Amino acid sequence: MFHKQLAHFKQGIKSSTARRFVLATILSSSILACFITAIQLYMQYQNDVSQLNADIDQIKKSWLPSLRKSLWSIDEELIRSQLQGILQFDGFEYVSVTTDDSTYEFGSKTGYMRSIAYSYELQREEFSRVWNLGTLEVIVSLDQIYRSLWRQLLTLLLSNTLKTTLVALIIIVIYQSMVGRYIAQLAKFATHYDLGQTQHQPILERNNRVEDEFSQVENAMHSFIANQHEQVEKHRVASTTIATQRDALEESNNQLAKVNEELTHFSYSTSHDLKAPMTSVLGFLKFAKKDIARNELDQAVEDIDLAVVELERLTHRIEDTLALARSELSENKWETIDIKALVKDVWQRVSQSYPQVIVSFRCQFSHSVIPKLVKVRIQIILENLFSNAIKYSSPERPIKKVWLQTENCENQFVIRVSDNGIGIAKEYHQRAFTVFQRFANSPYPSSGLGLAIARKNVEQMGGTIELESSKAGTTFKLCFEIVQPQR
Amino acid sequence: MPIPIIIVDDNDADRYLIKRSIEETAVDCLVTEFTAGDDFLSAYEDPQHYSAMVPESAAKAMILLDINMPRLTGFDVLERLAETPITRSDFVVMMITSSDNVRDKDRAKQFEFVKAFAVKPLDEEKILDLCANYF
Repeated sequence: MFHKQLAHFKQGIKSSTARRFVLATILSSSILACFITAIQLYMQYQNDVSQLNADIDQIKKSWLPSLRKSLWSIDEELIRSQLQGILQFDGFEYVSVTTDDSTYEFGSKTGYMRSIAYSYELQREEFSRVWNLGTLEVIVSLDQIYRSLWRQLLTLLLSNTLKTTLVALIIIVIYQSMVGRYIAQLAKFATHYDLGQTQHQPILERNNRVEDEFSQVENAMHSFIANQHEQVEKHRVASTTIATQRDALEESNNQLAKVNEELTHFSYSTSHDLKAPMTSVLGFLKFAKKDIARNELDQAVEDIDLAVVELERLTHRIEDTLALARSELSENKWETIDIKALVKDVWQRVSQSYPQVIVSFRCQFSHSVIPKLVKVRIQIILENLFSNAIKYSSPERPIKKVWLQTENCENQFVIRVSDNGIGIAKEYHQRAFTVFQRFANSPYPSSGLGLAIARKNVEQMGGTIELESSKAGTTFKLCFEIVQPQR
Repeated sequence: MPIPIIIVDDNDADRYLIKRSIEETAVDCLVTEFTAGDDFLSAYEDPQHYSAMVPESAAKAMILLDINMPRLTGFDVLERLAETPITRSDFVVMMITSSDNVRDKDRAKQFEFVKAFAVKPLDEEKILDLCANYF
């Protein structure tokens, strides 16, 4: 118990607030005490003075008449004893009676500092005449009064000082234990508070739940902190939202940039590649005119035939360009397709377009699960891949082979279309799927759009297409996720 | 002295038209055709093959180069020509293309050996101009 209070004291004395508090309290208390003491002493003084006056009155009342009698009868013994009697009074130091003939005196006139002197004329009226008996002189010393006052003052001062000092010390302890330490705790709490921590901590270490100003401050701080947490949470949510929106915006931007680039490239390529056959047609017709002018009609007919071929090529190219545009736009009808039947059907149609080319076709279906796909798009993709395989088959190989495999691999449905044709050099793999790209000359017309169309259709179904190639041939790998969200 | 003319164009019809244009000019020439840029470049870099195309006695060769070709474009060919150390250099290139694209023209101009730019169908006048200025 004592150690605790000592600790409080040590803390309190450091606090400037505590010191000022004590100083103010003690100062005002002391001023008040001084005031009260002054009043007390004054009253004491008044008391003593009135006592003195009472004594003087007593003398006037009872001793003076007696003295007169004894003086009239000239009873010296009586006079002396009366005078001595007067000297018995407190503070009376000197008394004397002076008559015409003699003086009777007792006490001393010295040995004291302050005094009051009283003198009384003693007279008697007798035989119709006033006799002057003598003069009574009394000197009263006030030293006693002043001394007692002084003593009282010192005692009061001393006891007050002692009391004040003790009270000051006690106030420091009480102040510290009731107020100071809580203020320090509040300050410490506020300084060290970390908004990151979410635990609800008590601010003040108090055993008893007292409802006072400090608990009010504590509650206020708790609600302030709760408020701050709310704000922080709001901000966090807001910035998460902003971050998400920003990401979405960035994604959107990237897509737009990509589409823009595709479009630019597409329009450049298209204008080039659609214009080319027209320029050839123009050339042929100019020469046809010249040949007719020179009467070389066979030559003219040949020119016109060649022009026709070019126009057919152009028509083919325009159709393919439209097919590419359409593959971007057309709606998707998702269904579980009969892939085996579809593959055989498409191969039949495509191979019939190239009757001169003898190609051996094999298929192997090793998949167990097939996701929902768009039948028309798969048809288009297979048409393009098959016709490429035929068109770019190797003239050096007597047996031209095309084969198709399906399988399930890591939650995907995979189709592989392979051939033993002339292949595509590694450096062109990146360009292979862009528009109007041809890497070899083929005896068959090619718009250079086949792979672009195939890729667009694959992507519109959420899948991917890759190409591997070597001198031995080429393989296209199509992958589709099994679990597919409906678009 | 026949002028060696080399045509590099993948399109059969275009090559035919260019040849006929050359015939119309009645210029004395020795024409070689290539259907792809890499074929031409391998011939160019092989001295033996090159001599077959461009005889020693000829001072210069004329190259008519298409832009839009499979695998290597006309510009790819130009860049390779610029890199290859000039053995028996001296050639003059005329770019032949389907579209009159300013960007293509500017890009071609960067090569100092490209002296002309023609839009298909090729005008005989262009060939004659080239012959007059450089041969």
